[in-house]
Amino acid sequence: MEDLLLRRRDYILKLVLFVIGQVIGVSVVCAKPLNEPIKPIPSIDFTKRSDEVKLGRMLFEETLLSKDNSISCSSCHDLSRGGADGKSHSVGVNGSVGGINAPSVFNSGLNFRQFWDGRAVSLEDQVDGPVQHPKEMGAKWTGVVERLKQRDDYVKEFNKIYPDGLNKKNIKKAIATFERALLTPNAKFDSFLKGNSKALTSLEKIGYKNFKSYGCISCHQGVNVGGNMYQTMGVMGQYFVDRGGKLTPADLGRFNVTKVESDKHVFRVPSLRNVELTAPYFHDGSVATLEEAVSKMAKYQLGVELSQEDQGSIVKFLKTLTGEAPVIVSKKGKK
Amino acid sequence: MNWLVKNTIFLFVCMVTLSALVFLYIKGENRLNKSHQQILTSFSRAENLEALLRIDVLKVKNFMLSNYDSIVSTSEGLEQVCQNFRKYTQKLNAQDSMIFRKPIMEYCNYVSKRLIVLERFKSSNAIFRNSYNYLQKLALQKDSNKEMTFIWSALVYSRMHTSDSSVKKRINDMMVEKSDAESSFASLHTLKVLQIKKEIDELGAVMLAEKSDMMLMKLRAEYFQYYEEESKKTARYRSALFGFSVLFFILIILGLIKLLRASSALRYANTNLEHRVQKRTKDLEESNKRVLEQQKTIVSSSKLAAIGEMSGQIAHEMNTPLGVISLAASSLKKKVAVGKYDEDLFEKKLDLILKVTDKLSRIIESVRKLSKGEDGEEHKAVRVMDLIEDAALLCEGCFKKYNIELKTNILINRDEEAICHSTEIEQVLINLFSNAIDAVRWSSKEEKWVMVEVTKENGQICIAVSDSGDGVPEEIQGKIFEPKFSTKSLADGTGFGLALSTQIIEQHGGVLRLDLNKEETTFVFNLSLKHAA
Repeated sequence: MEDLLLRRRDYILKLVLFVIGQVIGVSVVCAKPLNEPIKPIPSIDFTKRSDEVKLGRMLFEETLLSKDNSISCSSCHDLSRGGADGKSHSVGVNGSVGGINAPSVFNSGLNFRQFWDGRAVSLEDQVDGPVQHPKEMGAKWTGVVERLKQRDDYVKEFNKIYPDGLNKKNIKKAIATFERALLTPNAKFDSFLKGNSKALTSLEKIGYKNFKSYGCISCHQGVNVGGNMYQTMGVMGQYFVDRGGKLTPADLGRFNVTKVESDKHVFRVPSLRNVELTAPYFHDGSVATLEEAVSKMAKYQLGVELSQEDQGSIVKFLKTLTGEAPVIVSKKGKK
Repeated sequence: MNWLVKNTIFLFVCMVTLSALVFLYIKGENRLNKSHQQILTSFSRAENLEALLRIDVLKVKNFMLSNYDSIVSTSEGLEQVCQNFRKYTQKLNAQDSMIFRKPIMEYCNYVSKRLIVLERFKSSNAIFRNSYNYLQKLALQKDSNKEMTFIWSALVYSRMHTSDSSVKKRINDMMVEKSDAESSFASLHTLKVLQIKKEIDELGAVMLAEKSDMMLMKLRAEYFQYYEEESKKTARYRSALFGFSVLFFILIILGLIKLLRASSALRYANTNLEHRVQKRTKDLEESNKRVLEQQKTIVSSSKLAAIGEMSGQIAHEMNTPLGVISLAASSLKKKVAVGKYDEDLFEKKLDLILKVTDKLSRIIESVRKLSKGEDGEEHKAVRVMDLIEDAALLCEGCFKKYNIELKTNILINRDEEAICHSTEIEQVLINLFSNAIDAVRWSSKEEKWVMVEVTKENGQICIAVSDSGDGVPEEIQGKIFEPKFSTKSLADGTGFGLALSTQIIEQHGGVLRLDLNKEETTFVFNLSLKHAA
């Protein structure tokens, strides 16, 4: 009888030690994720909606959406160029030049508003802008729907996925679903955030420290390193005066939407993810290099003069924000 | 009739109850019920989100929150809640709208206003934080000057309380004096901080105000009050509905009971009917039996009557020869008394006596045969001529009395035999002869004869008795075969003669009928020949 009890106690002790050992071992191997104002991109599974995403991609690259069948969404939001077009202002139908720099479509689902002036609440609403803008796609929705209805493959796909078939609402929905799937996870900084301290070099880590201490992170924070608030362009300095040139309607920013005087030159804070791919920078596309962008931001938004060293480290840090190409894009072999 | 009225009333009551049920059900439906759960959820969600937002704003104000993502999701949640509220007001009917629309729209508008303020708060806070940190860094540097430290403490002071104008003035004065690059940035930040501090305090106050909570509470209370009232109203209808349903249920039960009773009554009536029919059938059978017995009695009594008729006839027949014998004997006795023994006379008279005695014995033999026949003899093969001769003998006296000639027309073999009951057939013949004699007797015609004709046809013997009488009137031709029908007075006839004869012939498988093809009254019947099976 006693023998049994002893044996049982032995067994329990062994078990407890084993569990503790495991916990320690595991906690050594798996580092704790850091609690920083920037969060890594979440992994969202879109396989259940793969049909809708595929259709959205077809429409994203579909020139029938434009008046003269020359412009598609991907003309200005090129999936192989980080989701933007590398131009300071994009070119629309009839070669007309737009008034503002095209933001990246990558990770755009993580932004709280769309457009530089935040006039679209959702990605679905955003589709209305370019499609109907005379200098972008210059089309009318009725025309678009008609042109798409001529294509049997579109009609079939729409009827398969949506109960009410091919209409404006579902076109927007499909495109938006595709855009939401354009996430660029696993940036070097993201693995650093997840606890892998080896993901960044020491210079990059210093860059991040500077990014925080100078205050860049006050506006460029959150899961998308920006894109979740508005801010005046030229808080600590007269950006537009110093830039020169005429004030365009685009320069007025949020004022175009709210008509409130204090909203002049207020814009949505852009995301800094994949920023090394999306030159030129700022809403007017006036800055060609990342270094210049960082300096100008420091001067006009933070009211500080950055040393060469610090600027360099911050640029190094910004380059770690480049993630992997979205899964659906990379599958097709594009990068 | 009474039953029909009762059932109609019952049905009418059922219909009325049913329509009352439908009406009350419709009226008893609380139209707020459909959206009630949704509204409650929206209220709770709004309260939660407002609390979350307040906490986040406080955190941001105290530099405890630098990631705005949670604020963004909270504000989006509030927008969604307001959209739900707006949808709800659209669904309200006019009456409810008046009560709820205004407060709900008020709350939603207040939320929109605050969300705009929130954005400005976010932007301003970022700027304030940056500048504040900048100044803090400067002030905490190892070789920072006293002014910096002073500015810094002023800022700390101003962070905890509203900006003091004297402090501001002092800082302004200091700013004007300094001019190096570092200071220019420092003054920039200082000014910024002081300017924004006020803004943030105002914006923060709006965000942290308890007004929204109070609005929500009031809204919730009003909604509940209204809901209670509606529920009470509809509860009244519902209880009425319940009462009527119970009534309806009772009516249905009654109906079922009626149905059950009716069906069992029907079944009972059916079985009863069966019994009654059976009883009736039995009664009918019994009375039928009685009738048959009566008929038999009638038959036998009529037979007896016929016999009575015949016995009169027979007595009469027997009387005549007896008279002849008596006359002859007395005549002879007279001659003996005188002593005249005339041989010729004696022989003649004795011959006469013998002949008549013979006739008498034959008559008696016939009568015996007739009386024997009452025991139901089987049908035997009998010589047809015997039948006729015997019957004729028994009626000879009558024929002579009325001076009627009996003619015969025999068209068959004299020895032909028929299968029959000899006594009964003789009875028929006697009846027919008797009727014929009566007919001729009453006739005023000169001719007086009765003819018997015997023919053979299809294996049947046809015996026809016709007379020279006046014939049977058309109107009674069918009736004469019926029992109790007689054209003779009660003294002369019972009315059963022909009926009985018809029965006898029918029992022999034949037909006794009046031959209408002959001019003279002819009764004809048929018998099976011996050879016929």
